[in-house]
Amino acid sequence: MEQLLTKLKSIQPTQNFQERSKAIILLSRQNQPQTVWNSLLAMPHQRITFGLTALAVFLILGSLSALNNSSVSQSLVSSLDQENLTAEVKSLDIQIQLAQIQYYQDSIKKIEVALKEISEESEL
Amino acid sequence: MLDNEKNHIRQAKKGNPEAFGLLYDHYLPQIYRFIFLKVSNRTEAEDLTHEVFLSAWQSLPNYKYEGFPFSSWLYQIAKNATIDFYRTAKKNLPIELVNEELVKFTPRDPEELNTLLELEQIKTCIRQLKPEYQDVLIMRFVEDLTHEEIAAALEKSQGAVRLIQHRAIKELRNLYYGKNLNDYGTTTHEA
Repeated sequence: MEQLLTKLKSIQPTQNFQERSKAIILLSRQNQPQTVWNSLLAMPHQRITFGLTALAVFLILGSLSALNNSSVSQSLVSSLDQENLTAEVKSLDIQIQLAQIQYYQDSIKKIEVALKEISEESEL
Repeated sequence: MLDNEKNHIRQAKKGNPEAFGLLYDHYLPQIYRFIFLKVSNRTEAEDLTHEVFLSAWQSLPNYKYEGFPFSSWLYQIAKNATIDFYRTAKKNLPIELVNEELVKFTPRDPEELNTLLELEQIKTCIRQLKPEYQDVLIMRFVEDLTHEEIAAALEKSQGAVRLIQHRAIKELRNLYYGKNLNDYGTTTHEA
């Protein structure tokens, strides 16, 4: 039986087929090798959009986290101390009140001057 | 194995058509035989063989050497191509039509004619076997592949390949000698 099977080696493709097929194959283009970048490019647009969005969110969160650990953020955090804030708010109120008093005083003086001018004009 | 095969594969992976041409010339006969013995006629065998080598050329940049010969990779593609062929096209020609597509020889003497008839009968019997039996018998006895190479091509263990081979040869014997017994009323061949 094995000898019979060995005889099947006599089956050969025709020369014509061999030449024709080979020429067609070698004229065709090879696929690009599978790299990460090629895989990304091969993806549908929605997946790319989703991937880029996720990447952007990751970068933003990462940046914020890095800022929290830096010295700049330490000063920001200390400036948010409650006592400092209270003092700032109090001084702000005082400044507002002083400004209001000044405004009222100025306006009273202007009114007095205006009334005097009106009375002088009426006497004439 | 082709001389300097690894270098040819490396070059072909980079898109060198001449290097792939050498691989094509070397492996075409065996891949063609493998397919021819599993389909019904020469035209289908040629179409499928062309598809196999086209697919190999196009996907070669992604080929990775994993310790098995290049032929195992080609046989894998060929095996999948024939499975797809039968699954999608539902091609299953009756045996009578297969007999019309003999290896196209012109016999010069009675002995050669007898050989031709034997080949025709054995091909007919092979096509009646299960696909995995066909694969193992063709690779082992027609193409002289080792069990290791067959195991790699069929993605099975060597033990499984040996078992399939044993069952396949037994079933082929039954089919072949049973057929001869029916045809001539007596067995004419010794196992």
